[in-house]
Amino acid sequence: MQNLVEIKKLDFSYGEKVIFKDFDLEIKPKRFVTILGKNGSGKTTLINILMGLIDSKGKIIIDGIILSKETKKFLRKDIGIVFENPDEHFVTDRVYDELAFILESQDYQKDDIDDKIVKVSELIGIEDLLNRKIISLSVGEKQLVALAIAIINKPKLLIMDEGLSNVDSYYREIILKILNVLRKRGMTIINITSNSEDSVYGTDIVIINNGKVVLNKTLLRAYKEEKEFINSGLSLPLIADLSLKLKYYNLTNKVYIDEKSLVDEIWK
Amino acid sequence: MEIKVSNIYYSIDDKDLFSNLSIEFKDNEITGVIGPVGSGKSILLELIGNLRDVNDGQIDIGSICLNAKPKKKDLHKHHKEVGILFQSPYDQIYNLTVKKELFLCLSDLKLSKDEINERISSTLKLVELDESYMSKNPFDLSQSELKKVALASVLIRKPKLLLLDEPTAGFDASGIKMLINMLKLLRKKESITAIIVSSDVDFINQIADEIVVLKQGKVIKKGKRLDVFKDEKFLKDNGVNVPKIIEFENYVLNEKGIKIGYREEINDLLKDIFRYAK
Repeated sequence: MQNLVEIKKLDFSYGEKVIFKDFDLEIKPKRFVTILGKNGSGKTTLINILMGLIDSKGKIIIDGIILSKETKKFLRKDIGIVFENPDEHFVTDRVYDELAFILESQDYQKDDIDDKIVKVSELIGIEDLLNRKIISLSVGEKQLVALAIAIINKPKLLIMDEGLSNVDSYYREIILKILNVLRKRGMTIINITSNSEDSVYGTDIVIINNGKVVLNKTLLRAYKEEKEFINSGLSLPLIADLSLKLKYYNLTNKVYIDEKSLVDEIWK
Repeated sequence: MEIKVSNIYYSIDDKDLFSNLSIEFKDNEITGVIGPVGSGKSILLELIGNLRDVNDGQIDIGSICLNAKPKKKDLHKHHKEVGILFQSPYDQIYNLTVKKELFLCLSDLKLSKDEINERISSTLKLVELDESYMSKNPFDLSQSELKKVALASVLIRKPKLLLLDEPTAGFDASGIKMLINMLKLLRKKESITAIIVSSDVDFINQIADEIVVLKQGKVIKKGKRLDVFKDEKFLKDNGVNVPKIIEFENYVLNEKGIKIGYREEINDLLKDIFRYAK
């Protein structure tokens, strides 16, 4: 199976500060990958490089196409991105207009536009927000709108760049569940965060520390590598952490990620 | 140091944020101020920190009185006795070396050379920075190291009231541990009074004595840490996160009818589970 994203021997520095050296990363298609790393580990820089926004040394291949000056505009069309602060990217007053704006700028006709907006708002669950003024929305609602905008053209890759940092737990859960739905529909998801609790909704975990990938495994296998989390300044999600500690004392026999399974196991 | 916010009014861009707001913060306690984004928590801290003036009403910090037109002597005393850690360390670090920065922070305190050296040494220990950092340029440091320098610059003055605005932002797990240890030590040894604004409820759960929940400029709940956090439904309905450990403890209580007790820390939780597991 061809990787959706392949980064080979990436070198990048900000002046004298080396961010990446000989950095390699592979992301398989239709996976929901959580990229974890403490603040300053280079996670956002990585995304800027992936989007072709900053030049770097090394090879970046997205869906089989090498990223270059000539291909970057084309490749960006297949990548949707949600940023930490949505306010910086909204240009209109109303939610409906914001969704329409992006489609109008791509020369879609009015009927198509309306159709696409209805479909995406049903998928994301923002039908009730369409007529609202963006300024009146909560942070979580704004991020739902930002997500709708990011996926309206069905990109192959969706990137959340610390998109959940300011969102409360209610909307956080909603968004993470939607990301999982999108993955099942064939989208590859990358969630960049320093909050390891987010990772339980995904399929794979990548940990970046000191400009290198120190872990790239599927969920349960990743949680077993407790040391890598700690050495990278990260904590394990609570339930996984509890399971591992209880496993050590023979109260459980595997790593759990949800409350119900763990509690049922302890109190069989 | 008791803090009394009395009937304050404050507006931003012609919009009322605080309208007749009153809150009391207890002496020698660490109070966590939590609430959804836009609740006004940071602005409240800035008002107590004298970075903004209330439109009306007053804030009493011990014998210091802040109102719409505070007196010079109160401002002077405030500068000496209140320490604030800003959300961004760039807002309070100015010098080319850590040493210069720390010296500058002590310059108005008229300390002896020995006292200065002792303070620098003990403060660096408190924030877990090696003495070798003294000669470094703060702006060459990583985000978390810079934040530690900013914290040191505040603590070195031994403020009676410590105000922290989102202290965990920019720190990794070990940095957060340092914060918790530091606050616990100060609470024990120096009887410090602290007000911490944070959206990291797991952190607040490990360190706060009291909690104030702010929403759209109003206090919607106030009380002892556990009494506030236990009420998961109320908090979630109001857009406030609940510490993961409390969610787990509530889940066990609701699903299995077992009260494993409310703990701040995973190791204490483990002991409870051993006690109650079959």
